[in-house]
Amino acid sequence: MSTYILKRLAISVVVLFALAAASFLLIHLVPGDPVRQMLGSGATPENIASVRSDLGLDRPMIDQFGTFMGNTFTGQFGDSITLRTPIGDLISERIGPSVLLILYGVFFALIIGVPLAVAAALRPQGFADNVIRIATTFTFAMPTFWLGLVLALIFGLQLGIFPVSGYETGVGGFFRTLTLPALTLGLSLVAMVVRTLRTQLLVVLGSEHIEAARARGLTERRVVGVHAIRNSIMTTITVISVQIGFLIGGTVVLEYVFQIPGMGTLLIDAVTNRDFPLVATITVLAGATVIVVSLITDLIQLALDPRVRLADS
Amino acid sequence: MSGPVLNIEGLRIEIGSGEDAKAAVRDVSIEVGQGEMVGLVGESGSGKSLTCRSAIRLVPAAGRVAAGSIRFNGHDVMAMDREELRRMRALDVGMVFQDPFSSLDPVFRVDRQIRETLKSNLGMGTPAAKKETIRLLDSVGIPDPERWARAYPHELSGGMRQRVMIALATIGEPKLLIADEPTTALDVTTQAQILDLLRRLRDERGVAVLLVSHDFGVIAETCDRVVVMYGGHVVETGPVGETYEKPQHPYTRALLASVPTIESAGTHRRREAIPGRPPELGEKLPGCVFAPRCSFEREACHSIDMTLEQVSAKQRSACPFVRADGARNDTVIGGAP
Amino acid sequence: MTALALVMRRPFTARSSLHLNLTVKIGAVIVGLIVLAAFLAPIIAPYPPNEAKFLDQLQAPSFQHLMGTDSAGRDVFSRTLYGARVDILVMLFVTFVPLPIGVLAGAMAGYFGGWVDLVISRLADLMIAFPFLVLVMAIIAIVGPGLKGVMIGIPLAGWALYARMARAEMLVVKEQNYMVATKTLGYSRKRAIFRHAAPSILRTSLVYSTLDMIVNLLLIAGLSYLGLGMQPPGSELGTIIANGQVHLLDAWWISTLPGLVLVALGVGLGLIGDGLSDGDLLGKEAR
Repeated sequence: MSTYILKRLAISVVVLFALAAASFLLIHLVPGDPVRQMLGSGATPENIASVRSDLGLDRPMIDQFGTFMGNTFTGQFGDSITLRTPIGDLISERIGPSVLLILYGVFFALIIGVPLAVAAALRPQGFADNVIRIATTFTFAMPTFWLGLVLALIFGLQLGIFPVSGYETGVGGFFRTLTLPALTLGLSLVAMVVRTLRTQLLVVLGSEHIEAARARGLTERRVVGVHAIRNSIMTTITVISVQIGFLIGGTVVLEYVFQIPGMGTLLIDAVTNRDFPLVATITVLAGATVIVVSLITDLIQLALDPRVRLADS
Repeated sequence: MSGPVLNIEGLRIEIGSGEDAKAAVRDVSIEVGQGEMVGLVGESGSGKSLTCRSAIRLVPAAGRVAAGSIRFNGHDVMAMDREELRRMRALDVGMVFQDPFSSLDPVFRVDRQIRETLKSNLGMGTPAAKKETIRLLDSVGIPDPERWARAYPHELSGGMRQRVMIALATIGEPKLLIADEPTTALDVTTQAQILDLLRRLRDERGVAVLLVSHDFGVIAETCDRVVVMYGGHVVETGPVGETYEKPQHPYTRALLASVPTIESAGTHRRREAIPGRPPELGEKLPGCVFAPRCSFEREACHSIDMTLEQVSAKQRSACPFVRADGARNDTVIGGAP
Repeated sequence: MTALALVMRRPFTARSSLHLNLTVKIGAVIVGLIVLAAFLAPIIAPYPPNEAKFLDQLQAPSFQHLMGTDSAGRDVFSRTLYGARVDILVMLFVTFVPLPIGVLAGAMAGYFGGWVDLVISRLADLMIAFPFLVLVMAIIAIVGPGLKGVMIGIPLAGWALYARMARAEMLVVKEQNYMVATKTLGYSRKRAIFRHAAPSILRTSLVYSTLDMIVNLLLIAGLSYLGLGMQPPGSELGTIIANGQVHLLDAWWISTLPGLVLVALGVGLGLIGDGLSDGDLLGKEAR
């Protein structure tokens, strides 16, 4: 089993390497002169030349690649062009709210989605099932930012329960400022959670060991709540982890809607201001997050499903 | 307590609903007495699985009991509410399924699953349940029970899994054990061991057993009485020995004739497979459902109904025309044409 | 443009054919109405979308202004119609440009194997590893914001999933008897791919594209909302919503009502996709 983990780790490192390389290529192979665009039309050739050499863009490509990779892996991301601060500092400041938001959002998705999926699966084609199916079709079609605005309008402005912008630290601040965006994020994920979990539950509920459990006289609550759920939980975790890309995207947008100073707003500003080092770094980080989440999910599966362990040993 | 443990009368199970409903079990009556071991034999599609499952109302969602009564120790099973049904399943009836590979929850350890049933059904506390788990595993013949209790189902062999299933089924000292093809998925040696275990349970604890199988040999080895099913109907009942020696119903005769025996080895008599195929679900056949494949078929067969009649002291058959006389390969004594 | 769509493709349990057709029909009607309205915008819009009348600003919805007016007195309904048109056109572009490219790449990867497969698959995997929005934003950072950026960014990032899907499908199809027969009969490889493998691969891709369209639609609106897509004064659903955010409390209709159009369009497409993935319209068996 440890060989499996090591293998996965090794592959992840390779992929991360490839990701970083891809980001580098992205910046340098897409048409357009980044420096010129950065400095704008008023730039003199001297300005451009000096900034180019500052950034090391006048050195041979291989050189730049080497430096870039070296820096990336040692955590020296260089400085943000527009903000004139080390990118590393910026990231460590901003990463907290974003991580909290995603986790809180997943929490909402589960807490709303799991009961709905169970309700739908227990009586397929029934009233609850159909209502839930229609509702999920709707939530899936809602733009995340729009849903955020609507919730902000209702719960923030009209009912006054939550603030609609800003971010506060501390437990109280967490609940006050992150609840609405996290709820929005969770609702946008709920459709996927409900659909996959429902399908998986239907499969499990039809399986023989569930029938055997019922034949033993175990309460329905136990049969569904313990056995059925436990056998279906892995698919749900997989779905959520596969959706990490979607979640990151949603976080970016929602940070903007609710004015939360996280990685999302950092990225948006960076893109708007053509701050390439910052954009590149955040992009690589985002890709790395996806890889890491996928790795963690595989490890969780190893821990949760004893049959997988046997297959690898 | 006297009276049969299980009494099914006129059972009719339909699959599907409304106009599309197809009868999978038609007018089946079975009785299992206290401490009796009854075998239910028939090929796949005969309705034997559905029948035995209906005893604890474990009919799949698509099916329903359309008619008939099911009584367990005199109690009407169909009239029970959910809680009564659950208690019956927990304490009075145990069920063993065919496929030990899929009857245990794969994500929980064996001891956890046994303990769960002990706590849920008998209200045991954890320490008592732990001890009882080991004792149970030992009582069904699992070697080194402490070690295997900690295992996951997929780590056990088929035979051991089936033993665990049986252990689970015996929790609560049930009066009836229903075993639906318990040995079909096992190799012959393990088969013998499991059947042995079932017999032992009956002998030592007086548990009645309803053993369902498509293999007459399995039933002949273990049961007191046999019920033969075909096409959703019961076609013959009787004591196992007599039925084996002198099968009354043409289907039983054909079934037994198609099994190779020691005596036939060395002769050139080929196994007689029953020509034709069993009826499809919902296929409506007037009269006797076996008639199309029966070597004794005659015109009148298509207008009889398949009620069981007493044809000898202890045997009943659904065929009014054919009787056995002596050894089973003798020619038939025909009844009225 | 995520595996989410693959998940959503798995329908609820099989339905009767009558119900199937109904789902697709309802979806098609909804989408059809909106598309029609959007394309007839020049005819049916009551006001020019950019006509600013400051005296009429921030009016609540009424018969004269079905969705009210915004801070510059522009009729929100007319802006929505024109905006929907932009969104629909861009959505069609960014969905159906990468589709053939991705499918072709994936089909070739699956059919030929070897280093062709290696290169294409690794490339696709790499792109899929990035969160889609982030990747598109990075491309926009280089190319520049605006619809141009969106129309380059999304296809550039989006071909990869079609490629992966087509490759998987091709690997399955390749083993089917009729494909082995083409080899035996000596058909040219081009013919084998295009004539014989294509239909089933295209079928899957087209069903998937309905979900892709929803995701892309939301993405386009989202990017515009962030200021990276359509630039003002153009009307596009995302920008309208963004403009209305300041007035969320006193003029809620600016941000909320145009969003409903997006939702409706998304729901319609979703119904079509749901109905189709049960197989009816595209010739598969329903059961």
